[in-house]
Amino acid sequence: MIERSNRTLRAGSILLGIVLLPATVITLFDGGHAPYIDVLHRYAPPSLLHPLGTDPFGRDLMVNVLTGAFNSVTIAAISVCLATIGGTALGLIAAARPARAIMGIAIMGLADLGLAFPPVLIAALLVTALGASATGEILAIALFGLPAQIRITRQAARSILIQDYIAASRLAGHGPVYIMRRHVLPNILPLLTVQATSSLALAILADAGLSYLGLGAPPPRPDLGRALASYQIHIFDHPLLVAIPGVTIMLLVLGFNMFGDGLRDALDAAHEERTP
Amino acid sequence: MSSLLHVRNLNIQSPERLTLHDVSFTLEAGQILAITGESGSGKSTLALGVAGLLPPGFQAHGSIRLEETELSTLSEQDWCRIRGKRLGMVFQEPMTALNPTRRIGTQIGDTFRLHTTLSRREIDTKTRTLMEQIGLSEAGVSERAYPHQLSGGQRQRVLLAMALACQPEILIADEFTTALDARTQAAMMTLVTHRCETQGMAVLMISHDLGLVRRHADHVLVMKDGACVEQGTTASVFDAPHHPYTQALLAMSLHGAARTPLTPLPVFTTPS
Amino acid sequence: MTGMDIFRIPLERLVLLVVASLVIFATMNLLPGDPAAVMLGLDASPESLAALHQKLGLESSVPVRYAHWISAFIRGNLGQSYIYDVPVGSLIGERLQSSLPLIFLAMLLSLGAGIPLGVMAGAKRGTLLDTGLMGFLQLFKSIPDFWLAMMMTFLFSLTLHWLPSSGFPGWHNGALPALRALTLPAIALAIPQAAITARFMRSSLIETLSQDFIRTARAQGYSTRGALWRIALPNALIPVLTLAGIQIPVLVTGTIIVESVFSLPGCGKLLLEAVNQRDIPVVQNLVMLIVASVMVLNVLMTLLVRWLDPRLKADPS
Repeated sequence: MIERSNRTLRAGSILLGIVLLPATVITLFDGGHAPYIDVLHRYAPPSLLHPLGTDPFGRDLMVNVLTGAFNSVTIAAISVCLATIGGTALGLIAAARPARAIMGIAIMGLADLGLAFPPVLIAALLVTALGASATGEILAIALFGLPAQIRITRQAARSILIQDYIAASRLAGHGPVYIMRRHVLPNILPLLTVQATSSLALAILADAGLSYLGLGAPPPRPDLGRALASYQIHIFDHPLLVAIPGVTIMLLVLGFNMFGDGLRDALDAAHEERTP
Repeated sequence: MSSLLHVRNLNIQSPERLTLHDVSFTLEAGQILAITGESGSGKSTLALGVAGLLPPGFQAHGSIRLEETELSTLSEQDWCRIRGKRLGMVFQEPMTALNPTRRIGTQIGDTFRLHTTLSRREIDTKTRTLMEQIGLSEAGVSERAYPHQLSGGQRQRVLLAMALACQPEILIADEFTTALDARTQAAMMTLVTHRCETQGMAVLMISHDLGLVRRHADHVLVMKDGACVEQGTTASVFDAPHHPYTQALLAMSLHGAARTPLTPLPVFTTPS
Repeated sequence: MTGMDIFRIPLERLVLLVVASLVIFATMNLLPGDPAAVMLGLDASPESLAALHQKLGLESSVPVRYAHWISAFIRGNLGQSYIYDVPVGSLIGERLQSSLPLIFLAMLLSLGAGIPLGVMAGAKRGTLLDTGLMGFLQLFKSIPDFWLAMMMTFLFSLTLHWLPSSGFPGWHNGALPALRALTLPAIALAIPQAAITARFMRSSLIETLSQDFIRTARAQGYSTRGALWRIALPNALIPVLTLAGIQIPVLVTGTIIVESVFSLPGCGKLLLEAVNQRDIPVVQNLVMLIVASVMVLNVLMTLLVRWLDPRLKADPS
């Protein structure tokens, strides 16, 4: 079991490494800007100078895609951080309240509300009101991830809170904040880590979709979804232009999915070892 | 000599180890044979093996004969004509052994549906009669009830009704009264023994409850680590146990009564 | 208890819907900036601003405006598009001709492919078929739907010329051309959901097959196959229905994207156009309509699951 999970974990890391390592290097090197437009060298075939050729604007495709990947992952990571912190806090509060308390109902209502508001709708509202912005996109993706985070945290915290040692801690005079910090949070932390990794995969898909529709972060920073939108009309004459950014997104999503699965298996195995 | 069930040299191999070692016994019509022993001794594996319901990966070798039919070489199709019709089974867990999404009347009626050609109306009538016999109707349980609306004892009655519907020649009862209170337990046993006396049904009763075994069984088979260490009539096994393991088992149950569990038994090696 | 639920669940969702309408209204009307200025852009003359103010009813107080909007919405009056100067309702109605069949087809395909695949893998658990299928589906879960759609147009329209790559001829030219135009978009929309459904169906079936009542059914005389189809499958399908309910909003999102890839004149395209043109009445009412439909479908699905699973009738948690 441990063997297998380690393999999944390793395969996920490799997929992520293939994209993220060069993406980070190039972004640090270039400052994350789009490559220069060079109208003389549009649609250049792959060469030593341009390993994947150039795009309809004469930009180096590889640099554009890798910088885009870095930006996508950054936006996804910030969104997931926000959703995880907010969702965990709200989930813990909801778990600490009796099922019929107003606060708990309000928080779970918020989580239910999220079901009806996919990120595209949130982004559509925000872009209409404020114009396209990275902040708006991050907010849209974070709000989309929040409900699941609240539910998972609440459920996990509940399963800890019914344990006998929590009752003992309560009898010893510890308050709810202490119990949450000392007993609940450390216990659900592995679960939250796995959840965050899987959420990253979803957030990258959401980011790609939003920027493809023009609801994501605006130019000039390159983005995989936006790149695909502008390359789409060239699908027949220059299929590589559409294939490369798509495969990059797929590698990232698959990588985070496998990393999350492997992490869960590894943690399950560790858990089983502790409690035979 | 025509015994009803004839088990010869039954060995059962789980994916990891041999869980049942050369067990042989016979069961006559109208008799109750109790299989007893501590947890993990292979009692339940034996019951599942006889019913042909071993989990995937388990393999059985040996002979199991139900009158003239050799069960161990039966095809899946033929097995389905025997299970539920000639061989009824009741299990330990009344809380999970019933399908939560189907009405109990439907689940009882399934046994008729699978083994008879009765019309839907006749099945309904038979189900209702059976529920009366089994004491469900007098407790006010409707055939339209769902399992979660029933108490543990009532659910076990439903399971018993499902097993007895086609008047099987043999009932395999795996710890089926263990989860019940003493009063319900007695009522259930009365239902079973009544069938033995009136219809000649034989019972293979798996139980670690020695009191229960002594009260109801005609014969006893004591198991340890997958092998039979002693078997004989209830009187002979209880009054003059030969094997030290049986002696210890009896001593524990008499001294500890209901307070201590049977687990910390002295270790004996079984004769090979 | 059941009787209670039939009222309680819709009531809860109604409260949520009111909250949702407040959120939508607030984003559109209370965020910094004057909606009229937002719509007209920076170089708007004061006169045109004032005229638009009047037209949008922006002189009234915020609560009055909300009450006006929501009461009109409930009566089916979705306001007037600023850009097209036609009622938003008729605009949406026109676009639903392709969007509704698209969502319906995609749902059908997702369940129609996902459930059998999941059952197949679950019934043959641990075999090569199972592991192969699940690995393959994991791949499809990781592909962005719009990219998958592009790749499908490349293969089936541009290379093989089987199906049209974009546009929608409408239903007045007969059902076949319309269905042909919707086939690729529906497949692209359905594949990721079918992959999720299949994985879920598989684990639900495996979980159900391990239950004690399966052994009871076998002891009763059910064959392995009989127990799988007659006993395990109906039970295992219930959670899949819950999943289908959760997938509805995901499909709605997907529709917006897929309509964009295939240039389908549907509601998703309408929403994007309205966002780009700052057509606030269209955005506000269309988003509200989508949220309301999703909620209604969600309530129906929840009630259906509760009706099918007697345990939930008793235990509303």
